[in-house]
Amino acid sequence: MINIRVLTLGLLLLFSFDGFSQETNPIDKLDSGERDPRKRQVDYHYGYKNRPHSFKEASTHVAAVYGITWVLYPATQPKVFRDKGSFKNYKRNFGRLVFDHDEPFWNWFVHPISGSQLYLFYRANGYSRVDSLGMSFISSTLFELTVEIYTEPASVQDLYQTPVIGSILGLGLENLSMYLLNSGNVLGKFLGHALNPATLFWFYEGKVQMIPRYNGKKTGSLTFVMDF
Amino acid sequence: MKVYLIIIFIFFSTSLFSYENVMALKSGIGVAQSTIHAFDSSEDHMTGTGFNTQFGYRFTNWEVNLTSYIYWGKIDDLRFEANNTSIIGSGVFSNVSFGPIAKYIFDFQPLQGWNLYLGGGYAYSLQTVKLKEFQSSNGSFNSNYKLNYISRGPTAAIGIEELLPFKEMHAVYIELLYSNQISKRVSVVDTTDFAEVKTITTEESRQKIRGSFFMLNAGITLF
Repeated sequence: MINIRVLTLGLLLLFSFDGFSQETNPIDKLDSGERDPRKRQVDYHYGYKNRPHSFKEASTHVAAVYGITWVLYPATQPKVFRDKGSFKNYKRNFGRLVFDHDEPFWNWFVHPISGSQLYLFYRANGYSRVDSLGMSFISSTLFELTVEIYTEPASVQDLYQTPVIGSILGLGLENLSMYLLNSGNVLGKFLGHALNPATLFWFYEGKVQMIPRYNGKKTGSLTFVMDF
Repeated sequence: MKVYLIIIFIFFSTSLFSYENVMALKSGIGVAQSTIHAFDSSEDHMTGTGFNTQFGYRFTNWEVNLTSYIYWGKIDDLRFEANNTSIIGSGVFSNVSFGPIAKYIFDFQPLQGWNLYLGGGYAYSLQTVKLKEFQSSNGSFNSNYKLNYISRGPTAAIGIEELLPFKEMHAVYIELLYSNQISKRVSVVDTTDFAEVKTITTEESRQKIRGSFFMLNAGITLF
């Protein structure tokens, strides 16, 4: 008996679409060019614009990421860096490639997360998806072969998984963060930036300011302003 | 003679109406059936599920990819020797394979709009076994240990893929992959400290452990 009540209540909740909505569909009231009242007004639209990059610009981006990895690696793993790191190890590990025996947490969580943020960094700088993957490949390979060897030899899994699985994860984060950022609400924007921090920085090229204008008569316009 | 003519016709027909000369990333899910032929001539069968990724360059008919095939599953009654200890047990396993694969996409369509392809390459694999219940010939093996086999061997694939003019249309592929690998190195790894695992022993495999893997994969071109 209780189960039937719960089921009925569940069905009632599930199919009560109009409980909190207006009596008539607001879209019916829309004139051509009028803003959809069901959506929040947003000042900025977030997205990505792909553009070509010169060799010099691409090299600058790779160099910047490379420099950051030399700072981030010891900063995020100070114990490993201190206990296992040495230039003697660097010399011994240079050119070595092994299968690491790390736990799944590192290979299936930490490295793909790092790779996804690399991918999103390059996306924020105007690279296409496949170019971002390629650039992530270059950056993570440089890290594996010339930075991480200070403590351990380069790993086959990391070389492949960081950029490739990282880019697949990055693609998901990209779509989810854009949805949240364009939702126009505070929580959505917070979560969108948290998932895709590259959208917070000056180099992010996809933030478009939307300025609605109305001339007081019957026509209006929407101006998009983008910084380069 | 007819067969040769047909083969030559298939190989030199380059009229595919598909996206070409671009880099592409594909990914999908799959199921795998592995058989490990162990040291005492016994066979261990494992069924797992997982995913695959393929990143490479599509020419007109040829495609060259770096691939990974990853799957996880359960294993029962595994028998192996490590560190002079014979062990029989049950637990979980994972398989991670990487390697280059070259594919040739034929004009032949077994289903309308789907083209047949054949591929071949070489795979480097790491099989990890973590035993939950086991019996060992001495007490040196414990439940925090895991076994890692590093194997390698040739890989062959046959599949079908949707023929679409743009990769943005996310072509679907379905493939059957076979790999025959020989274990080259076996390590016993202590995972007590998950942040810093310790390799207890690593030895060149003298046990001639051979693995054969069938994988059924399906996926799409992501970008």
